[in-house]
Amino acid sequence: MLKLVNGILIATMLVMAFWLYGLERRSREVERKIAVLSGEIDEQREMIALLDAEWAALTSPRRIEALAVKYLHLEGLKPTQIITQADITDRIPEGDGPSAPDGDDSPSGGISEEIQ
Amino acid sequence: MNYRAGTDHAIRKASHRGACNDPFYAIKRARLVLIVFIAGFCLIGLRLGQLTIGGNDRVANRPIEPDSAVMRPEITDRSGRLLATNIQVVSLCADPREIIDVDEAIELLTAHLPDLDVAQLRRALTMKNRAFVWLKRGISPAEKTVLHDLGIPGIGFRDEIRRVYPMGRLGAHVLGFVDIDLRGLAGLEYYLDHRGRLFTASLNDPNPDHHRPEAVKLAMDVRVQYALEQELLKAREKFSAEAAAGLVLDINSGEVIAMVSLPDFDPNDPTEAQGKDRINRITGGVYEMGSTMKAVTIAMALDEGGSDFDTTYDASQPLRIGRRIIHDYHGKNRILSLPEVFIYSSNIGTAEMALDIGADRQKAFLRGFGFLSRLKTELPEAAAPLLPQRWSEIERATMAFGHGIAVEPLQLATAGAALMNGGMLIAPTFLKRDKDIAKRLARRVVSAKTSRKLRYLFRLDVLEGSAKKADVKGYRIGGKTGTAEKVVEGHYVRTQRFANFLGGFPMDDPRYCVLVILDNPQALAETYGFTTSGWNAAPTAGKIIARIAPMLGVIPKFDDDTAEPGSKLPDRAQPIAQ
Repeated sequence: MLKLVNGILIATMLVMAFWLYGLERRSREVERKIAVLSGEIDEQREMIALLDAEWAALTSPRRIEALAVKYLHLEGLKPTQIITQADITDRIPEGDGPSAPDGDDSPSGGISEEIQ
Repeated sequence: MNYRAGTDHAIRKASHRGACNDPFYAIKRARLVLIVFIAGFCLIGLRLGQLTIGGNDRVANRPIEPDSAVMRPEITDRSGRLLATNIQVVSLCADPREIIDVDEAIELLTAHLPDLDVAQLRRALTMKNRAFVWLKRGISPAEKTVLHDLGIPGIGFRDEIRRVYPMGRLGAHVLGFVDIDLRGLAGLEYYLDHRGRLFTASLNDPNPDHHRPEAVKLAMDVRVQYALEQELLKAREKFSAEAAAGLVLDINSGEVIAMVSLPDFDPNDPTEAQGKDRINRITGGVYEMGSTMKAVTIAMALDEGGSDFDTTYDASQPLRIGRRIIHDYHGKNRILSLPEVFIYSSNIGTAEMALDIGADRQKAFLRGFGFLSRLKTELPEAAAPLLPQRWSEIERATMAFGHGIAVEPLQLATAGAALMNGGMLIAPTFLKRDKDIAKRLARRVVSAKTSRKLRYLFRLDVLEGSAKKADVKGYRIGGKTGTAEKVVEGHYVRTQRFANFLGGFPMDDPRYCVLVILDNPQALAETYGFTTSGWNAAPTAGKIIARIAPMLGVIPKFDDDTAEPGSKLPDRAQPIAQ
């Protein structure tokens, strides 16, 4: 009787030990993977932060203005140049811009009405 | 024999003792122990299995502890453009106790990092009682590789976070700066570490990834900030002013859309910020604002004093109070109506208004606008107003036209916004704020009717008064000029002026308040020798508004140029009641 109990216990212990060993090995492997991945994530985040900062520096108004002055010969916006959407059709000069298709009297081809 | 028999008996007696004749007695007892042990181990095994395999909620839910790994939040403008961020850099450090040959180490280090100071390096490396010294903060990855390959004993590297401001000087006075250990020393950076700690923590809180807090969103718009900075730079240069400062305030929410104080500094290099001329003139200093304060006095006369547009004030001769005489700068020497007092900026007229009201009501009115105490915003650079010690007649009269009371320019702009937006004073903020929250914070200081009249007066001053040069066709600008004599070593200096302009646009439904300050502007040929605000601060404000209005979505209108129909002004061609 006692021998049987001992035998069962030893057998269970061995099975458990093997199972536990396997489990531990697998979990170590997963842990290693997690560490590698979170390292990569951190690296990528660092990279994103760096690129964000670079983007902010590149798109800063100071730089954009300098580039605009250099390459585009634009003037400051005058208040008279700003019109509302409803006035667009009145402001298109004769013979300029897209012409209206036949049978349509709106010079902008009804785009403004469609948007509204 | 007898003795033997006696012993025998004793032995037999002993074996009988305990009433245990059972041969399995020992085995039974061992089995009991065995069962107890098995049960014990089973319990332990079960609990272990439960802890390791079964997910335990209590372990996962342990509180997140604040540690150094929690990063400083990034700072962005109102639409998410990055203004301050954290970049990882490598720093060079050493353990002086482990250095074997100091001379060799110094030679190798300076050969590869030529900007290291040899004397300082020697001092650092010979401190044998120290286990850690910084040699250089922030080296490049390439430098790190080279130094690492040299293999100098006792020299090591540390990954560090550095605060970077990608837009440089833009908004420097709002952002502030940090020291090399990332502690906020000025501006919002200081706020995030001190009074705003709770706010900073809240950025971390709802975020499951606690190493990346949410960004701090400022009220600032970088485009407006840049436009303001550029126009002020031009104005400062043109008028050779000692300093220039400007502010754009959303009058319905109290948000500071842009704030510039020149000369400024680069937060990436904070040593520059220590100069005394680099203070933030919008919040960090108090000034006698001059005639711009008359707007507040007139609001008081309209709201409290029962005055209206047809009320008249005698400015035919200087006002004498005790031994002091109050003159008008643009003297008309006649009786003026209330709107005329405003547009001709009559010191006498506003002084009379203040004297009519009485000390207590004047004090209460100014307190309502917050002029009597320090204005609390997020920025630590806040100066307390300078007030007269006694509220006697002469003090009250001069305060009416902005002398003898020195306030933060931001306080004046806040008051100006309240006068324009319908009479609600809203505490200004540098952080993005909801319109609903602003509404809850708003406190009525003048009636909506008074505010409407003030809007009319502001517009009138730009159309016909001292602020004509501020006008930009289409944007319905309104405002008031102010010029104060500067106080140098306790005395007013007639030749040094502090010019400012408080304005708003569009005046039919005001949305933004603009304040421009020029410190000691010089006369030019085109200003005909004048150094008053109408010739320098007012046109600068006009240029600023022309540039920022399209960015802020203010649609120009050309049809109506009357600010407020219904409130007719007496004909100024004929002076009233000579």
